[in-house]
Formats: sequence, C-alpha cells, structure tokens
Amino acid sequence: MKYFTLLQLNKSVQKLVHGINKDFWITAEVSNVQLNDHCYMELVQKEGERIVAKSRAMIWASQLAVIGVKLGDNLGDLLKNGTKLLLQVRVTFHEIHGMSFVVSDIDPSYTIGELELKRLETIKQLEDSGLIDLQKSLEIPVVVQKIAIISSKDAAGFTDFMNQLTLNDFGYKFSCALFQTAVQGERAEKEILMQLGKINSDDFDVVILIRGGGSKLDLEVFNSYVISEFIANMDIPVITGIGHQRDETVCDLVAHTAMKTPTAAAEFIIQRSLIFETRISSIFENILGHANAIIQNQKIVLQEFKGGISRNVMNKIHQEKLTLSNEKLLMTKNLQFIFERNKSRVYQISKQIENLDPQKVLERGYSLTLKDGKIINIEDEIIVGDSITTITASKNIESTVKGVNQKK
Amino acid sequence: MGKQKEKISYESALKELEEIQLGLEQNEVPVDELSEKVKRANFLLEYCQDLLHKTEEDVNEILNRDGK
Repeated sequence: MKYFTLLQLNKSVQKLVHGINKDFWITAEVSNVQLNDHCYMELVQKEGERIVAKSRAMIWASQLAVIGVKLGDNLGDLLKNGTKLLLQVRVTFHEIHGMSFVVSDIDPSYTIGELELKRLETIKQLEDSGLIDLQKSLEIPVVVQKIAIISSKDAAGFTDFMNQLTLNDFGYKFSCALFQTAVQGERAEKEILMQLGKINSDDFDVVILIRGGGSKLDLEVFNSYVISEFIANMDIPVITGIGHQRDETVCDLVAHTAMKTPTAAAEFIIQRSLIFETRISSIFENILGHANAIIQNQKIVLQEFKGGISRNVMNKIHQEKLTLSNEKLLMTKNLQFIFERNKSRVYQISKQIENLDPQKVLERGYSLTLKDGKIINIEDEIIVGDSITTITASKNIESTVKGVNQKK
Repeated sequence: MGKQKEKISYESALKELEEIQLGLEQNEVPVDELSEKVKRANFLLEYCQDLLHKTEEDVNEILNRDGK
C-alpha cells in the first residue's frame, strides 16, 4: 500500500491550490472581523439563517492600507460584521492552517448596491405595515420651543444645528436637550434606538434627528428598519436633517418632516416662530387699526348728535316763537277788525240819527203843518175855514183850509 | 341735575341721545320739557366724549408703548 505523510498530502494540496494562480471576485458576508495590523475575518454565505459556505480570510496590513486609501472612510463600515462584500481573493492553502483567502481588493459599489436593495426592501416593509405615513398624522406645534436632539456632540452636523438655532437673527430662544449617540459605525443603531426610547413626549415639542454629511455607508444606520419602525410609532413629531442635499434615508421617509441638512432643520424651526410672530403682529396692528377707526367714527357720531340736537332745539324754539307771534298778530288783527266794525256802526247810527233831524227832513222837501201853534197829528179835527201854518225849510206859510179829504 | 356719578354704558348713552334727538325732530317735546331735555342731552354728550377721549388715550398709549 502506498501511503503518505500528512505533510506530504498537505503540501500537494498546497501546490495544487497555488497552481490556480488567479484571483477571483467573490461575494460573501463578513463575520468575526478582527482588525489589528492585518485584518482577519470569516466569510460566510447564508441562505436565510442557514450557513451554506464558510471560509477564513485575511488582508495583509500593507494591502489594507492600499484598500483603505481607495475606500476612504468607508473602510470601517465595509469591514463590519454582517456586511455583504464583493472581494477579490486568492485561495491559499497552508499545511498547518488549512485553506484561507487572501483579500487583495474590495469593490464598494456592490455593498452599496446591496444596501440600496436592502433600503428598498425596508421601505416596502414599512409601507406594508402601514407605518410609513404614521408620523405625518401628527402635528408640529405652531411654535417649537422644547427640542430633543438625537445626534453626536462631536458631529459637525450638531454644531451647525446649534449655531443656527442659538444665533438666529430674531432673538428667539429654544430649550434643547441632547441625547448623545454615535451616528455611524457598529454601535450607532443600538445607541440611537436606546436614546429614542428615552424621550418622553410630554417634555418636548419635537425630536430632531441630525448628522452631518458623509458617504452612503456612513449614513447607512439611518436606513435601519428597527430605527425607522420606532420613529414611525413615536407620538411626538420627528424632524430629520441628515447628510447633504442629495441623501435620503429611510428615517427621512418615516419622519414627520425631512429637511435636507441639520442647518435646514434649524431654519425650519426658526421660520415657524417667525411666521407666528408676524401673524400675531399683524393681528395686533389690525386690532389697533379697527379700534382707532371705531373711536374716530364715534367722534363723528357724537358731533352729529351735538349738531343735530342743537339744531332741532333751536328750530323748536324758533317755531314756538313764530307760533306766539302769529297768535299776537292774529289777535291784533281781530281786535282791529272789531274796533273798525264798531266804529263804522257808531258812525252809521249817528248818520241815521242825523237824518232824523227835523230840519234835515224839511230840507229834503217835507213840510210841517201847525194849527194853533201845535203840530197836527192824525187824530186832530181839521175843518174848513181853520187857519193853519205850514213850515218849510225856508218859509212859514199862513193858509186857510179850503177842503179836507179823508183817506180811507 | 348737575354732573352725577352716573355709570352708564357708552351704548346706552348713545341710545338715549338718539331718543332725545328723535323726539325733537318729530316735535314730540312740549316746551315745558325742552330745557330739561337739552340739559340731559348735553350731559350725555359730554359723558360720551369723555369716555371716548379716555379710550383713545389708552389705545394710543398701547400703540406708543409698542414703539410704533
């Protein structure tokens, strides 16, 4: 029987493996990352929760430096347990340690693409659970004064926000409480969740979730389902100000209001106070304007009353005076008339009396007949032969009666 | 009658003034009452004018206090 030593077999395998002499690009999930000078990790492939393939891998320190230059800040986020990576590897076999991969390169776009897929999935999950619009039904108070801030005090975003808020042009004062948390990296998700949980909705008007700009991977924690779910269910409005202009995370979608940057979030709050102040200022002006108008109007009304009443009283008095003078006039006329009437009556009577004067009668052609010096009247006897005297206006005539005719 | 410490509202003073005015216009005031009515009207007018003036002062004070 031919047999070999273990070393011989392993060395053969090694020769075989090293004979491949090619690098391969593979996708795998990272776990058990140990980052010292060199980076050691395990690569796994899962179907659901079940591991279907596994291998050890490592990155030499020198190569890590090269990759680090290429990836920049993303390196830390990529070499994180649970991240799916696209790596360029070379298979090695060591007679003692067995098979392992040596990583020569990492393509971050795959991870980002994977993350994007995960993001879309998270969004769909939130939509299906009816969570995505829950916050929108809350109302931000007309004026925001008590603010709970979820951010890191070392983050540029936080300082920007605070500066904008405290140095506002209008002198508005706000009361802010910082709930300190990491805003990227492994600890971020847990810490953010914990701090969100500490916020009592009775103590604050809004929650501000902010961090400054960064790469897509930096902001990845804000695509977390658990954080977004928690925000959706909060009964206090959440305002986000994450990253730069272009970034939109799942947190932005579930929050009540998403602003583009931390500075914009601060502006949003200040604007509300400004709008409110302007509104009440103009209402106040309005009130004053109306009050003045009413006062001026009433002044005119009173003037008119004054004028009207005095006019009416003078009219009345004048009227009464007229009435009185009319009475007087009427009375005078009446008296005059009475006098006139009496005067003419007296005159008439006197004229009548005048006319009855016997002399006047005689002058009118009548004559008077006397017998024996007495005026004869109806009963007196007159016989022929009597001597009578006839008196006229101008002469007295002596006559003797020649005849008498008795009238029937 | 003279100036009593009567506390009537501006509105009711106005209303009374209107009634006096109307009565005069429609010639319903006998000469006996003329003098009294005029006295009353004058009192009411002064009362209203004082009230208005005080209100205007108050409003202006608020206006000026606000630095306008």
